[in-house]
Amino acid sequence: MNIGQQENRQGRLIKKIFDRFTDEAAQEVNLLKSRPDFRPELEYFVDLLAAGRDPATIANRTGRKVVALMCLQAPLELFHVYGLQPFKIFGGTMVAQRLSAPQLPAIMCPMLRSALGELHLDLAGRNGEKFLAWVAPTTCDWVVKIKDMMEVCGVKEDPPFHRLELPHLKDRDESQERWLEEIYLLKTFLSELTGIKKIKRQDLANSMRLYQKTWHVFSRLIDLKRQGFAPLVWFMVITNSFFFDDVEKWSAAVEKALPLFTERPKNGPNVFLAGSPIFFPNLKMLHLLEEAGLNVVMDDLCSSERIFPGAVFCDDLSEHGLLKALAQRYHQGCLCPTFSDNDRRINNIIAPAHKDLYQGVVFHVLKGCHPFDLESLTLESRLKDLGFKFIKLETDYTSEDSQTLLTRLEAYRSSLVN
Amino acid sequence: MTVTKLRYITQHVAFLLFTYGGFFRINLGQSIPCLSCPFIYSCTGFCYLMMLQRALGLMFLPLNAAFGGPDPWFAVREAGGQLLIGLLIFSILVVILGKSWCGWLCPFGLIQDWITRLRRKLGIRESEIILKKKEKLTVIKYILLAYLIIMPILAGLGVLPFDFILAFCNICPAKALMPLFAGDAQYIALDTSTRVALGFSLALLAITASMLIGMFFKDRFFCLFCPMLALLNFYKKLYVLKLAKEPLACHGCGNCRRTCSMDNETVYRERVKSDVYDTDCMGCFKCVEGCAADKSLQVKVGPLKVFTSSRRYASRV
Repeated sequence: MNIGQQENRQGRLIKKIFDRFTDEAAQEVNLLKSRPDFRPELEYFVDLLAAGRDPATIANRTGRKVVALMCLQAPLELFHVYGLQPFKIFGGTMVAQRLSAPQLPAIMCPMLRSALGELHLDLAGRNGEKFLAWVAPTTCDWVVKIKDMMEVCGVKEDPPFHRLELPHLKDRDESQERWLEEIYLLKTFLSELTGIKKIKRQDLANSMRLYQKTWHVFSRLIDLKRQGFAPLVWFMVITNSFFFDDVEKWSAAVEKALPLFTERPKNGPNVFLAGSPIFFPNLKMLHLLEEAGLNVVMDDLCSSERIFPGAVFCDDLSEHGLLKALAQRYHQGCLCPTFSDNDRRINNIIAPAHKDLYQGVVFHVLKGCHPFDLESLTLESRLKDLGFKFIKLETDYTSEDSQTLLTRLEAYRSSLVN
Repeated sequence: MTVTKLRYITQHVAFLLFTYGGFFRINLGQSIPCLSCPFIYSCTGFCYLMMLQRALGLMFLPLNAAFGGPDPWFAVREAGGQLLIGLLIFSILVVILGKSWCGWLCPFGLIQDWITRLRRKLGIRESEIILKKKEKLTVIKYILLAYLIIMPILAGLGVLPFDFILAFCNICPAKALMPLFAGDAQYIALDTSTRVALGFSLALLAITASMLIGMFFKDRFFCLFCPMLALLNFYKKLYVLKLAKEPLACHGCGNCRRTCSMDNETVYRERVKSDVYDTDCMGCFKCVEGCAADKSLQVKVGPLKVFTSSRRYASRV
């Protein structure tokens, strides 16, 4: 087969999958909009997700150029102060995997496999519109190798690519200093990218205040979830859409949606959802949890409660002080399992303030998501020692295992109730 | 109102009271556990460190061969009584408020906070050199405490000149700076009356100048050396006001460590014990304010929780 034939075949495949991709997203949108608890205030978030992640659309919506972000450790406030819109690359579509799967390892994070497939679709659908740059903190193995994988998969994204070397020990002062150097390097990169030579420290402080304010609003939503008023499906639709619009507009929309959550949807047992991220339109696990009668009142997913880090408390308002505060908050405060000294991540689950809120822990692992998979072993043993009921669900981007998962969740629910 | 604002208001009220209360004939005695400087002519009460030095010196006066008089033990009775009563009042005050004297009431602490605010306004970063040397520097306050106990005794015994009765006050930067707020600049001038006075005067100016530079580049720089903080540490187990941590609730975000003016690491590092009242803590409780983990840090009065950390409080703007 010559190169021309190969390209034609790939083009046909992209078109075919693009149609199915659109169907998959539309199906999920219809499912969300037909829920009895759907309200017009939630339409904003669903529409953001449905509109897709075309950089041009996001740039028009936010008035800022869009930088693709591979993980959440790069301080969002820094992008904001340079007039950029950070956009975290998540992949949620099942069909998009088909475009990247043949070139990639068989056991690999399906979220990134899907993300790489979606990049093909995006490039095809948006006539070559690209992100202004890529920023990749070196978290899990898949993210570390993302640039290579993009090349292998034939994703022709060639804007500037900046890696942030993430120290995997959080508690060492040397790691903190190293990470701060990386934040300074990111600042230099963004400065060269935008041509803005110097940022004012007041502007950086204002950006930090803006994200702090957003976090305050988001905190109220988290509280509603803790109390069982905000169903996880809506909570995650809201958090999934975080990067799709200007942070102020998103925050205002969340504030508007808060009064909607006034009723507890079910009387089922409360659970904590831990593990791999879940992203639109693959909300399968959330629907299954609901169907099994389990109320998720807390989670530690980086696509949900950890979509952006919490309060950054800082009273040294020099530029160095602000950057140091950001660096520490995004590094020390991060509960991602890729860190080596991460026992404080478990504290988030077993903290006295939290443990009375739920009866069990559901651990969601995507096949090939190694950090979470490995972590589940120690987590399970610690939680069981403490008397928590724990269930680990391993799944992939497929709907074929839905019935099996549902049966296991129902059995788990019975064990919690009895 | 946030705790920081409340603290700032309290500090100012205390500053006005301790510095100008004398104009209104207020007298709070000589046992105040903070640097309410007696060299201010309008002061309301004395810093306990001065009373301690003076009483110790006078206690040993009868053993001084040069001392004579009709009743040499009169001074012992007077000084001993003063020492005991002063110590009792001081102890009660310390047990009630613990280190919060330093963070909420000390007028010299407030001056340091003003200087820090000025630095922040100018956007100048805090020095990290001192942070790296902190463990070595923190010993100095115990050395100064020993100095302020031993020197007055030696002065009382006649081994050293009588100026050494107030050996610490003579080199304390509060003596040079605090009276300025009452319009008195005499302590920033050289005292040439005797050689010892000149020596103290030169030392005071040098220390004050160094402290001012240090205080500009480092929050609460003087507190690292303050013997009052060393003295308060002896009461640590008796404090009614406590700082407690629930280690399991901590996410390790580092807000507590970063915001601590004294650069204490105990609150951040502790993973087992509940008591995190660091020996260098000044009781400002900024760590509790900044803690983004629900119920991880608590300020307690006895068993009662008076202020608890929360995600929502920490995220206020």
